[in-house]
Amino acid sequence: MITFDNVSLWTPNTHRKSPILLDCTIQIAPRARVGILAPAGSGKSSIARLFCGIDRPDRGCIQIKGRPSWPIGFAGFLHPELRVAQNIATIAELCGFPAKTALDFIADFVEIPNVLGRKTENLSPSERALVAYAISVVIPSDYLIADEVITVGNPVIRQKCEAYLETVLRDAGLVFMSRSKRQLRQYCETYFILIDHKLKPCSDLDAGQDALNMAANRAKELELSDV
Amino acid sequence: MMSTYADRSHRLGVLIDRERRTRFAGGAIGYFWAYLTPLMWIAFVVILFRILDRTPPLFVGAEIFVASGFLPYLIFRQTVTSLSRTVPANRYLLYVRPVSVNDLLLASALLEGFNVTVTACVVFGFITLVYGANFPVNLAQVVLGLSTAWFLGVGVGRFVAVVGMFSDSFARAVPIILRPMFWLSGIFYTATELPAAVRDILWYSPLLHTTEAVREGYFLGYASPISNLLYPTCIAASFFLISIPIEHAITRSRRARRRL
Repeated sequence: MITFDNVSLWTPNTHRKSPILLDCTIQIAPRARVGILAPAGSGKSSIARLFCGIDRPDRGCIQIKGRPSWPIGFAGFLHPELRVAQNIATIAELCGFPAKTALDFIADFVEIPNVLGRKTENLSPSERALVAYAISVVIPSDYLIADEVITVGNPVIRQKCEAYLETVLRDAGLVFMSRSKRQLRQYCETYFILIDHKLKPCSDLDAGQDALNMAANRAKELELSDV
Repeated sequence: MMSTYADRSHRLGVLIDRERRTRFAGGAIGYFWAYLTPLMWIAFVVILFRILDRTPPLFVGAEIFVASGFLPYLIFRQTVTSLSRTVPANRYLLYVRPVSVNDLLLASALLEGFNVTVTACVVFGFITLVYGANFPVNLAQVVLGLSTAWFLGVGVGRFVAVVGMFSDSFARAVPIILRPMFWLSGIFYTATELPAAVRDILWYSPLLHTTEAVREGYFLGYASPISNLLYPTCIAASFFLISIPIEHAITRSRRARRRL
């Protein structure tokens, strides 16, 4: 269970803070597949880090029972000078997961010749993204957290990602933050929209998108009237 | 819950191993730079000693005199540098949920402790074997003096690392602020040969206390007027303790200048 109790989050600037979330209270049940429709620049990544347990809110309380993933496909911790195998083993061991299992899975999943022995800096951007994706889904989590990225690679690889994700999601929940209604429909069962700095339940994503567009237009008009 | 996180000691072991692999990654010599750099520094200072025609104020070889003064400084400086670099360099590991800023700093401090122990053994061993320097008269005091220099580096380094997370100007200013420590740590002189007025001022340099303690333990018959290890220990503990609430406040308010 992930519980947000009156959570507020502001942008971390010292001056001119702007709100991302205000007094938000939600609960995400185990194994729930929750989609959050949010426009660009609304603070999706910041909220994703709250769900991952990486950041704490400025106000309110978050309780995470179980183990959330880091944002799917996050590649920042792959050190360019290390070999792929060393990077994967490090992350797996930090999570208390057997390194060998992770290495075997990734070598099989990514289908890149001799991928484990290669230096990370020598991978192409798409290969690196695929390795990062594979490590984020192979480490067991109770909740997968996705910040726009839920699959990577070319159409063939994407199909493989989707198939594996379905397997993982039999035992885990999903919190997927995206701008794409199509992707949210594909993976999620219940929805929220991020509007007026609140996460509001939404049963119809089309109506939710219309509400977001109206809010964006209203904000533009306000900006113009200020000028 | 599907599986548990790695326990803290295992996590630290993994972080130390990663730090060891990445710090000098890329070059042909790799991690030997950790030990080669201090040897080259000491060789450089000994050559400087000879060029300036300076003789040690104690009846010992220039090499062992320089080494006994330089090692405490090096241990302190290297530990401060290592701790202050580890947070920005490894910040994305904080995405792996059990890893904390404290883990990164502790791993770096422990690795540096291991490095400086090896460095000290290599340097003193080399000088003893090649230049025939005597063994220390009080090994325990030498070890205690060097350990205090490391602890001072850990305390100051933790403070520098934590405040540096917030302030770019502070992080840039630290190397400049610490530069005078090279001259204030007693590499080239002993406290006994200083004029009383100068000695009273230099008493406030915590590194001079550690250097003097190391030399007192190493050289037969040398008694220093200022080798109180309690003073640098208190300074180290103060910096260490002050850094804890600062770290908490910066992490809590997400004020780190290099964002996740």
